[in-house]
Amino acid sequence: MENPRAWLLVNETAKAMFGRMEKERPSLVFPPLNHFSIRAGDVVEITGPSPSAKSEILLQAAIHCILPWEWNGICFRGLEMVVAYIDLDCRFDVLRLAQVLKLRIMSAYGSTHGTCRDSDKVSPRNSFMDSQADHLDHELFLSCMKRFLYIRCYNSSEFLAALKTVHHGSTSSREGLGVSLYVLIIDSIGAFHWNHRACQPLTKDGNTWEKLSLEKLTENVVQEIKNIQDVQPLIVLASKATIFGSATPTIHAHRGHSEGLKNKNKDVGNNFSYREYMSPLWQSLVTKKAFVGISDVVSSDGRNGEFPTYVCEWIKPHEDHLYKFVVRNNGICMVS
Amino acid sequence: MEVSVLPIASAHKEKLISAGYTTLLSIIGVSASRLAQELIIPHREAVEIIKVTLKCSRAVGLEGTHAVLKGSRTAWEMLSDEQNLKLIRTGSEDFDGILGGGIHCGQVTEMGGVPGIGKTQLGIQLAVNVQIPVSYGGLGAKAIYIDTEGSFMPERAYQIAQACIMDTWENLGFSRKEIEDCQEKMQPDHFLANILYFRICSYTEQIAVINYLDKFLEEHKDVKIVIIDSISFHFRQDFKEMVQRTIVLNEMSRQLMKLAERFAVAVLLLNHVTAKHTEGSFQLTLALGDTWSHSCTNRVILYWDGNDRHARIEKSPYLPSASAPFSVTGKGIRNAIAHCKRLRMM
Amino acid sequence: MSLPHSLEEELPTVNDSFLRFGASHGILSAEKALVHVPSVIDASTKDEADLGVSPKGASRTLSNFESKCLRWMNGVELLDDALRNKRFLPTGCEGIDTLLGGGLREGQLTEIVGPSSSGKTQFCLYVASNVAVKLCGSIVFLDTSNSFSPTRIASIVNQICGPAVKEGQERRIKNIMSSIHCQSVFDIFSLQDALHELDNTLNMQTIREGTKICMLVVDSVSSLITPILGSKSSQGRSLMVSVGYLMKQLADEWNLSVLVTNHMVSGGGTSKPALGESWKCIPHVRLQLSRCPGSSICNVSVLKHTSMACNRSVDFEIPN
Repeated sequence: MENPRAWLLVNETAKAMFGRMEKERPSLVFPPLNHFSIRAGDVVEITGPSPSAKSEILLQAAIHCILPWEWNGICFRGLEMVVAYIDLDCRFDVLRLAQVLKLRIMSAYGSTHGTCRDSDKVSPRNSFMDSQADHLDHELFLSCMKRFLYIRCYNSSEFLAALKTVHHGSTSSREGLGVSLYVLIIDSIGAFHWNHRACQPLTKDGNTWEKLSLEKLTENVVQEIKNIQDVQPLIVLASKATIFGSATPTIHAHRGHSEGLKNKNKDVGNNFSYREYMSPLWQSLVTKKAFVGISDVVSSDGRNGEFPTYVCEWIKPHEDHLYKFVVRNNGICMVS
Repeated sequence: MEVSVLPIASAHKEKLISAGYTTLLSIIGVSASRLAQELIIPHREAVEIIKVTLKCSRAVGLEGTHAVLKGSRTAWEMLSDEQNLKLIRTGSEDFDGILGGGIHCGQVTEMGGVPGIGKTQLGIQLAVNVQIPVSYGGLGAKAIYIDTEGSFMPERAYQIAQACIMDTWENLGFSRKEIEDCQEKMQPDHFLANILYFRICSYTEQIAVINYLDKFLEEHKDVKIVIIDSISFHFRQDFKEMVQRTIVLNEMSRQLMKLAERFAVAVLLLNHVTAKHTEGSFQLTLALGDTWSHSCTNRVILYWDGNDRHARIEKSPYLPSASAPFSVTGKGIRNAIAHCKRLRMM
Repeated sequence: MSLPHSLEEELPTVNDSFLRFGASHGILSAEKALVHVPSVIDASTKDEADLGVSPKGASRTLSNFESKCLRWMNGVELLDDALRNKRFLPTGCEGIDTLLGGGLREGQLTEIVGPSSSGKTQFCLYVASNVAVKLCGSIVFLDTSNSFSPTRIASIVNQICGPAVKEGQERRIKNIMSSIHCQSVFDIFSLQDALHELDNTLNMQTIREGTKICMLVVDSVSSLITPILGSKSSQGRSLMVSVGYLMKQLADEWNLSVLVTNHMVSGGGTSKPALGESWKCIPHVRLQLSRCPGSSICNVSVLKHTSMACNRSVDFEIPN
């Protein structure tokens, strides 16, 4: 510094900084996790038995992130950032992404133009088969889809390699699209649990990297995520399936809590107890945690038949409230 | 092509050569798990070695087998094989009708019913019928009878064999000369001699015998039916741990299917029935639980309808679900008497 | 993921010495190279001459790997692939086709659960025949319980082709039935082997003439897996998950539609699928079959679907 006085000068006001941060590191708010804002640096874990709409929630987050704030005067309230989706379950369905995205765009157009399309009636296949879908802005759709990066991993070394290349993907997207990576989605983090559990006795073999132990794998994953976050502030969303049925005679991590929960909400027939199986190392990385589950209640909107109702609950930070939501063709809707 | 050209770890190359895999073709012909076992390397590495080998052999123009999978057959080939397979008749035409002509070789068929319905009779009848000489429309083969309950009666078998011989002659019309030709074969004593009988007293013995059958059938290629009477007797009594039982039974059924497939023998399992509670009503079903119910190819339930015995196809990949009456007579399994009478009246 | 060998043409830095270096350390695939080569280099910088590759060269190669090998796809490419290569295979049962939006998707693993004699095998045989007739594709049928019946296949094929006996009908049926390949597998290891072999075959198929394999049926997968799950160790579950992933990988890479069946067991009064929680993450689509005893009408309901609402159901009948 040539001029030491420059140190003392005001760089920016708090207001300016707030505005800048909002712009650079916006918070991610999407249903059903809209009660707490999720910010850069957060690692959010979404836990639940299958089926509990975990992948749907991740999809919702992805769509929120890739949509722009506004386009041709129409407000979408998106972030216009890049999403990297690491699929460890190999069950991601791009048709579903396209369907929800199209319906979102169409409904936004519809509401501005005053014509309300019956979005729920559109079947997934037809919705992008009929290209004359009048309100659909194809350019917008394509630019959104380009902001979605996807990789499929069939084993843990592919997963680690994918994490290593995330920053590469993000730099190339910054060059190509002008926006940077902001949300990293991992579906689902516990996918290779069994493979590595069973591999432990074999680690004495000469090829130590052939068989990573479970701890070693988690350690590597956590380290990689930290590395990525060091380079670039981003949000990590990870889903985790509860792979132990509630029948397993083990200590339930949230038993006391869940019993209180059950008493309070008789209509929720689910046992919310589950067993934690990820190592503490991963647990310490997680900054926010939500539990999702399916409830017995079936909601019906009269026209389109019945939808199962899902419930979502914050565990970290803890909150004693159940958020109920349903999954429709056009995404997740909260129900009160 | 030599193994040395492969871009794999030198340790692996050494292991391959010392195990006798010197050419690329020899590696292509082996399965990954076998290679892993022989070389004592992890399964994943064996898979990768085979992949690399295939890639290299393709680069130099070597081609492996043309089948989709080693040992796989197309439905067409199997159809023509199946049409050549002989059927073992039960003795009752109606019963044969719903079975598609009789008991199929190469398949596991399970039959069960309440005590006294004639399970053991059916078992003995089939053990006898399988021996009808080829010239008389039978298979001219031997039978293995695994008896877990001690209900096999040689006297009864003799009776049934005698009746069977009489009927066979009757059906073909009298031809003195032919009868004399087959005199030796068409004797009840000869029939009894060709029923190979095992008496089982505990479930461990049962498992042991079934595991041993593999070797036994290798030596006795002329056996065409294996009858187990009954499959469930010891398993229903001696087992406390249900999970363990399920696993053992599952393993056993796998073994039996392998036998049926490999030696083209018919496997007949006789089973007891239990009442199963479904949606408020009780239903008759075969014993040993749900997992077991998936493990046999065909299932037939024998039941009483009034005073008549009936057989119903419960499950089969190719037979329509149907039922037919049958009866147990002094001669063995025959058409239902009422049915015969009706026919005669007409 | 491809081996470094296949990248040779594209990346000049991947030369023989790098391949040898990789091979001597058991590194045969690109992503493994990416993960492990740095640590190997760290551990053995001293005997550089032995390695025949310089750390610098290796790390340059690695950064090349990063840009080239990993298949990060963007949404547009993904959608394009899905629309172009992942067809819907019609099951032939009208109700089910509308329920599933067109049939069984290629690239996906569909699971059928149901109690004994609820029509699982019949459904498999019917779909296999229908795909063979309508799309002229090859089908691989892995049979674990001797339930593959060529007679039944023949009668279904006859029925779909129509009763009109025309010239060459016999030959056509022969062709169709020759495109259905069946293999018996009696344990999980032979299933694994068969799947690996299928992968290799499909690898070859790209250059060889012949009908495309478009479907893989495993009937039933649960009867192979349940015997290994009983023990307390996690080895069984590990095998189960790895077989599941193997099938999904085959499905996606070669655009196969994988159909597996899973039986139901009764536990505590209710019946549930035999493969439990850990299996649930494997299938894309889960259908449940049920049939009233004595009737020929089956009911199918969607328990899980990647892009459609669940819990819808429809009745159908497989003609005799």
